[in-house]
Amino acid sequence: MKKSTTLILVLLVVALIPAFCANTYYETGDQVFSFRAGVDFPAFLAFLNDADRTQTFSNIHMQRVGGIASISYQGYLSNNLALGGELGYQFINSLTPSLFTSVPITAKLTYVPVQTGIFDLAFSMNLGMSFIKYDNGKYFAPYASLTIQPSFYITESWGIGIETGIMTTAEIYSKNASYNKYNNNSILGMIPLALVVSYRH
Amino acid sequence: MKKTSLLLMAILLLTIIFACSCNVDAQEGIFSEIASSVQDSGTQVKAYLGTADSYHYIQTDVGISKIDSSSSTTLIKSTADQQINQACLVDSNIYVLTSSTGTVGSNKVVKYSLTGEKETNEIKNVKWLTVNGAYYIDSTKTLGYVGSSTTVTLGSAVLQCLESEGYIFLSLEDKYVVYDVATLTEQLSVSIPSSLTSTNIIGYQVLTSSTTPSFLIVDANGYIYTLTSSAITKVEEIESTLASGNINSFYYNQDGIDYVVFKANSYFERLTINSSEYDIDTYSVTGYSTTLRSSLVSNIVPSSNTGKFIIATWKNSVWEIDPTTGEATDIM
Repeated sequence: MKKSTTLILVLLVVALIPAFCANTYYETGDQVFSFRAGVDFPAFLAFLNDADRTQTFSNIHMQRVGGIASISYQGYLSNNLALGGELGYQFINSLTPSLFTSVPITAKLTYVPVQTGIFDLAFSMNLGMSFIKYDNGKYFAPYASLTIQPSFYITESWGIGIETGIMTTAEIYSKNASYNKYNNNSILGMIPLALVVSYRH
Repeated sequence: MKKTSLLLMAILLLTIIFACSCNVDAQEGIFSEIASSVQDSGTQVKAYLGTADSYHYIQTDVGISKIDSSSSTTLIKSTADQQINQACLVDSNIYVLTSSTGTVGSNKVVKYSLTGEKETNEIKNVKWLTVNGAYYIDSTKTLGYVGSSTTVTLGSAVLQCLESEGYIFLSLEDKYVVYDVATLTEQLSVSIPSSLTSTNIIGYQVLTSSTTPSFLIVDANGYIYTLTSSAITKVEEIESTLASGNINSFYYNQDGIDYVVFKANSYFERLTINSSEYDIDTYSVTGYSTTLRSSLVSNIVPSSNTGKFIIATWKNSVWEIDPTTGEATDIM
């Protein structure tokens, strides 16, 4: 079992080596549409002004798994840099359980250092805002994420990949905010694990 | 040029993010609410009834149960033929108000022992029964107490009833009255002013710091009033969104200052009464006020441990709280 696992890993690395040496595949003006769906896991809930209340995966007051979905569109600014936007939807239940939902609308910048035409390895950064809702509370929150996505293109246009990384949503209030909200300034971190279907042309 | 444009775009985006980041109506922050959310206990508690023989007695959606920290036993089951609507625990007896589905006039109070054995005593045609033991018969406009055979004829129909510790607030057609339940003695009677009605009172609390108790009521708009025989005076307003239905509360005195804590929809609000000065604030510190902030509270009653209170929640268990320290202990 160990030998076969090692063999698979070696073959995978060998298969990827040419990718790093290959010429670039994309050209300025190429476009990519992506559809993403999967699960997300709560990683941390950090209280910036009250660190004692910070919760991590082991004790966070959320269910263990939620869901995510999104659509995105990007255009290549250069051979390996694409810029575009993404509209998403995330949900997860609290312990109660009450549903927490988030609708991030973000600008998405992707760097693709490995691109063979068949295999892409992409690093993306999203920056924007998210409409979040929980019980009676609503908030328009700053949102940022960093993700990595290996993809295989099974045809010239259609590819399938897996994405993971870290997605963060912040709740920021000023010192003058009512209800002692300043002490509740916080950042929620979620780890996505999603299947991504991409169409490029 | 390209780099400059990208930098400008990034700066613009960040500016928009921080400028637009605004709270719509999450009073204390959504993530703070999530961090204080409590797990569903799996039992829907309608009311905490009291303590006897080292057990806590509760009314759930399935009947009457006795619980301690390690066990739960259903003593009296609610069935279609005998639906348990309300219950109380008085003098080591359980009284339940039952009715049969679709049978008009079947409402009756039935007495049970602590082991769930049915006894012969029944009080028929009862419209409602409170946790502190008061019951009301609409056909005769009679108020009674399950712990005695004494009754009081009210003279007019009760349109609303609220309880607080050993006292009951009744809204009649043209006046509010307060009774001591155990003795069925009238504590006060006051005409309903034009600004209030017979049906819009959602909260009621007795204050027992002096030998003569005083009373507060809350109307459906969240206004808090003091209630005396001569006047109803508006003193404060609950700031948070009100809970649906009645608003639960408890009273305590600390260092000579009176406090009444109300459970609003998502927050506890604490009314401070210092001499004749009234001041209310959202109360959210470590302890019960954050642990149970989002919970739907079924009822709040004094604990058998002096100075503490029991907060029963619909889905999030039953808690004993210490109002002075904020400490909350799950007793289920």
